[in-house]
Amino acid sequence: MKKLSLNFWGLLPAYLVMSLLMVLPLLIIFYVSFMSSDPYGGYKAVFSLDSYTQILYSYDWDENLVLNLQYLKIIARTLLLSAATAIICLLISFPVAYYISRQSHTMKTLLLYLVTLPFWVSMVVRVYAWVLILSNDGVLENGLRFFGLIGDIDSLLYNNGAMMVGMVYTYIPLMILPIYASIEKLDSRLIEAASDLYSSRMNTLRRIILPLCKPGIVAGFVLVFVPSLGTVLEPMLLGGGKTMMLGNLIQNQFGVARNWSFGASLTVLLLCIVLIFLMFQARRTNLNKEFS
Amino acid sequence: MNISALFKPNREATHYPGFGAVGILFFSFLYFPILVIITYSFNSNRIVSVWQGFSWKWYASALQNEGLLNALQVSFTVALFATLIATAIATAAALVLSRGKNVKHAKLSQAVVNLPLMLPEIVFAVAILILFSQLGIQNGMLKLILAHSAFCIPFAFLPIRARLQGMDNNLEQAAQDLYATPLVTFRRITLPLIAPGIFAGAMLSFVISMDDFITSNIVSGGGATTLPVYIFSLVKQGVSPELNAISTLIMVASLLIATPCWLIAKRSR
Amino acid sequence: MQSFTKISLLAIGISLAAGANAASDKLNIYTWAESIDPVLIEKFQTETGINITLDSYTSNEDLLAKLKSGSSDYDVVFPSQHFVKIMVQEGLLKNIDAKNMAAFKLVDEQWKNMWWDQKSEYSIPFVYGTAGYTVNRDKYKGPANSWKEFFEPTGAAIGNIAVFSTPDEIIPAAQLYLGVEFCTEDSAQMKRIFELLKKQKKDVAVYSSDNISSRIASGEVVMHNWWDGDSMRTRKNNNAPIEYAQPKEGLVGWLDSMVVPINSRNVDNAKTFINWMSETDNATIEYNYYAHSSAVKIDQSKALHQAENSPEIFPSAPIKFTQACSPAAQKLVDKVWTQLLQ
Repeated sequence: MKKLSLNFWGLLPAYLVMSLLMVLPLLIIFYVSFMSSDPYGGYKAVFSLDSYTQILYSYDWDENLVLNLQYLKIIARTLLLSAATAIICLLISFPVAYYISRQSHTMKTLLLYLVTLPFWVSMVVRVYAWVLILSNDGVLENGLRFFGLIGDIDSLLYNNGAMMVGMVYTYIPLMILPIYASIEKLDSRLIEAASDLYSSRMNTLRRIILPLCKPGIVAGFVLVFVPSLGTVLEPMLLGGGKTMMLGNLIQNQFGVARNWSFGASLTVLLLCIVLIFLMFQARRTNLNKEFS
Repeated sequence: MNISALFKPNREATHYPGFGAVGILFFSFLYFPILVIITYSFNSNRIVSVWQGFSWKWYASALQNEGLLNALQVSFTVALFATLIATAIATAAALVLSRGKNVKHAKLSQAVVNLPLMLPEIVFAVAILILFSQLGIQNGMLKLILAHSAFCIPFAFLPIRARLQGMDNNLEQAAQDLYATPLVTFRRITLPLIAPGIFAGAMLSFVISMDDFITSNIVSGGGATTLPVYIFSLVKQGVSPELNAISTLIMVASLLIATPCWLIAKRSR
Repeated sequence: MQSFTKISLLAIGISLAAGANAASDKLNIYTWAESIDPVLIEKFQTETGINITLDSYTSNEDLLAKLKSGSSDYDVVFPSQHFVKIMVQEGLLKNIDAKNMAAFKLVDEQWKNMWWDQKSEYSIPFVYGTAGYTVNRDKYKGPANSWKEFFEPTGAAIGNIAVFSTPDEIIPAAQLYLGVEFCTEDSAQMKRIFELLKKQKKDVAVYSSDNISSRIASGEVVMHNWWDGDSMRTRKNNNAPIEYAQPKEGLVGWLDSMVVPINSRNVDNAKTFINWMSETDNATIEYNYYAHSSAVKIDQSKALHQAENSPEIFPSAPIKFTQACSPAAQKLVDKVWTQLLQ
């Protein structure tokens, strides 16, 4: 009995904080998403499904309800860019993690330290670095011009590519670490055995190494993909505010656009996307194991 | 063909040519932006990207920038409180979840503690904005501390639990066999043993809180502008060498926090 | 471990002490970017012992959103006339009995008891001016005496226009150009506005209200939506080759007032600040710095900006002030903007 109550008291603060500061706010968001919007911000406590229909339909200038794909486009762009970010991170991370795992012990420690270090540097600063590099007359443009590689070019900033570079740069350590962990667990004798049996390197990679590293790859994918879905900073600073992602769209509804219920319905939508994705992944791997 | 070669372990097989090149490219990609920031922070020219000569002057002006120092103070205070709260809560939860007997709903509890990791941060940010506006909480610092405490909990929790799982509970068992009360066992045995985990968790929470932009940007109000929000406002106003100097100072500070933390985590493994 | 506990207790003590001593002598100001002279901030702090923290915004919409979130903790903010009206309606402002404040006596007669605050309860007028557009004369040699050049660009302006990031002043500008009433509730008229802006969009390099001076002065864009005083001080201070256009259809007028949000926790300090800023000496310093026309009396003998060297704030074009739109009209404005930026 005493043990039980100790368990109870130990977990109580965590439950309290999480239910008051995470679950309760999410329930309020859910509630607000079914209310009508107020033209000057906030919401009116009148039931309405408008904020959900608004995702797909809008009123045209003659007040007819018409299909409107603009938000769907933003959602699709968000999914695509996040998936592309995760895939690019994966393509870079796997060879890098493998390379690190083949080094001597000291070298390994050093390289892993170098991988994690940028993660400790403020995200805003890291994104700012790319503004500096890519901006008009920025470091990259001047550098390329100095070597005579380019003439006069348009800004490298303010496009999907710049945004992707920023996202890959921000999230890539989250991909390398879990993949490295699973490569470390890999028994190198398996690879040697495959080679002794005249399996080509590509074949060994495909048949042995990749399947065995799958838990790490999946964990890395989740760790990069989920935060990418909610990216706010990169589109604002590197995307120039012209190409929006779901995170910005949501933020705007609570800011200058002053449409809280629409913002809430988009938040619910984003939450659903994340939940579906996580449930899909949870079947394959135990997330909690990978997080620790 | 040399017969003896067949009996040697085939080291070559585990080697993939080209992976090394990717590795080197990757590390250049990772550190090039950081080098750019540092280099141009010493540029005496007002226009960042055109090099004119070496100068310390941007550091001098950064250190006299009142807005920056205010933001630093806000961030530091928030991070300190959030870290203390999150670490205390996370330590208790980690102890129960890896040492408690007959814990009901252990899996659920684990998921609850890690909840902030599952959500894109913008979701949490707008949700907490609405909560605060419904409750009518005015104090900007209080809002930041509450929000940061919540999302720092899993970052404090994971290293502590990893530490607890990494050590067996023989010592605790022995102490209890010697009739030590649970409290004494905890204070004399468990706590010293998991101290490195707690330290690592606290440091991680501290950095996560100091770095947070998305939530702070949305809930911040008068007198509660955090460092990342302040830097963001500077970036929006355009690039400047002073901003580079500020960024470099922040990177040095991060390095000073990260390195001992890394060393301790290494040693405790 | 014990020393760790001690250190943390000490740290808590220090930060609590730091927080406590600053409680009563604080003033949180939320104002237009680069609007208040840092010299004045410094002077105010030394004279009154009140500590100012200053945050800035670049649109009335930003300000409204922040106040509407109900927990912004600001003590003095500077909305334009129509937003004063909206904020009063929405119950976001504190009745500070403005007409009995010392500052009120210094307000220019023409700005007293205006439609947005008829009994002068909430607001003390601060500065006024216009929203229009600025051209970079190094890059653009064409005429700049109509909104036509801005909305239907030709020559060097094609693809090199920058527009404010919020609809507040750009839609009234488009309405002036097309001869549509401000705040119209006529959907067909607003559709024309939408189509004009939609057509302009392909020539818009960026929608932004941040960092305008460097963008237009450097020639990164050749035309930029801007405010009169901001354009003038960039021309004067940086010797920039820019000109503030005088569109014959009219400029969009605004007047920013000093008001106190309903939730302010430092109302007395806020009133002290408002009175202090309106004092003639300080208002003159502010006029010379901000370069917008002052709504309170200034010392003309010390004023740097006179009619002969300041065409921006002594415009030849007519001025039409924006109004507070009805919810129905506001919905149409928002609709134009969301459809435009999709």
